[in-house]
Amino acid sequence: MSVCSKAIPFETSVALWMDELPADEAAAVEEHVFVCDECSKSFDRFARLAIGIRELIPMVISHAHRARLVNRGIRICNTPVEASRTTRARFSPDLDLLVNVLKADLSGVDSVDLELSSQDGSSRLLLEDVPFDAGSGEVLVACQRHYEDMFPGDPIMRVYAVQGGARRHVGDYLVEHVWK
Amino acid sequence: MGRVRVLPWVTVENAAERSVCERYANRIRAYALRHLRDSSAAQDLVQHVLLAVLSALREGRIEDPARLDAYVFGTCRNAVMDMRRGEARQRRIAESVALELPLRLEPAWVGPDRVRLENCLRELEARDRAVVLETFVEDRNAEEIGRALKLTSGNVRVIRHRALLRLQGCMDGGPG
Repeated sequence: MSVCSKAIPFETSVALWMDELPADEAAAVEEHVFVCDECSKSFDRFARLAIGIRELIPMVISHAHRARLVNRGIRICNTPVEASRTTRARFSPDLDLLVNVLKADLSGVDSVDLELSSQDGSSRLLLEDVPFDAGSGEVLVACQRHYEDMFPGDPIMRVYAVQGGARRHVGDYLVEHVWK
Repeated sequence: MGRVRVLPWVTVENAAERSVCERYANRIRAYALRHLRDSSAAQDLVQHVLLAVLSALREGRIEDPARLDAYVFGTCRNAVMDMRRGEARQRRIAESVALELPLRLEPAWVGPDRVRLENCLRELEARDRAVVLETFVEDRNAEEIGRALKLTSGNVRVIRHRALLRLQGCMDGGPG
């Protein structure tokens, strides 16, 4: 592999990806990245990371993100889930994604946190400032196949609302997943 | 050397063609990912460009081998412009690739380990993670994110850059 005499800094790769470079500079950097052994390897690593993040489906998604996934042909089953009730959802083989739609009164709320914990309390995961829709009163939890073994059993999903600097417990939600 | 399927989706005739595929496949893909933001479309473009380049080589249309980098880069650029002209054109490229490759197998390229990436993202500070997800998942630029998070666009770029470096380090084997 040839050694590059003008290696492209990481922040320039990011700026190139984000279309933040002036057109002339972008064209020159892009051509260099393509022909240079060292820089093409670095940019390939970054491109894999960037597209990996882009195609990642976060555990909690916005309504706009769900709409984009539907447009991309992702097969989704939405399950409305009320607090303090056990709901059942089946991840049938014809589905790509289960979306558990947690219902709550979120009017006037500044932000929402979601805590997932195993029923025996041995595992806990706190997701702060997750997307939510105050109008519909919904938090969308995107359940993916590789989550099956993340918790021992189905986790309790605990929603907290933050308003005026105070944090209050909104409700606990439980979905019994059938994974086949 | 006979015909061999070196890259899983391209049959090459000889060592020279093999080395062309090995040299350019990832470069074409990275270029395509930047412009098309879609791994399936990028995969189609890799196949399309490699087929075009191998055909040109077989037909002696590349007179100066020293200009191969420029030829492949130009082919890439034109193919992306074609794909951007519309989905119909994009579909035609995918269909032409499928027709020319009767035994189309899965590509060798593997994206990042999703579970590891999720773990690495969780290792980030909440604000850094928000900037990264807003950037790549929600397609927001630094100005838009800055307005939402009450930061300057310059701050957003610095946070984004540092968070991506940490993510890259984590994906390469650091914590996560």
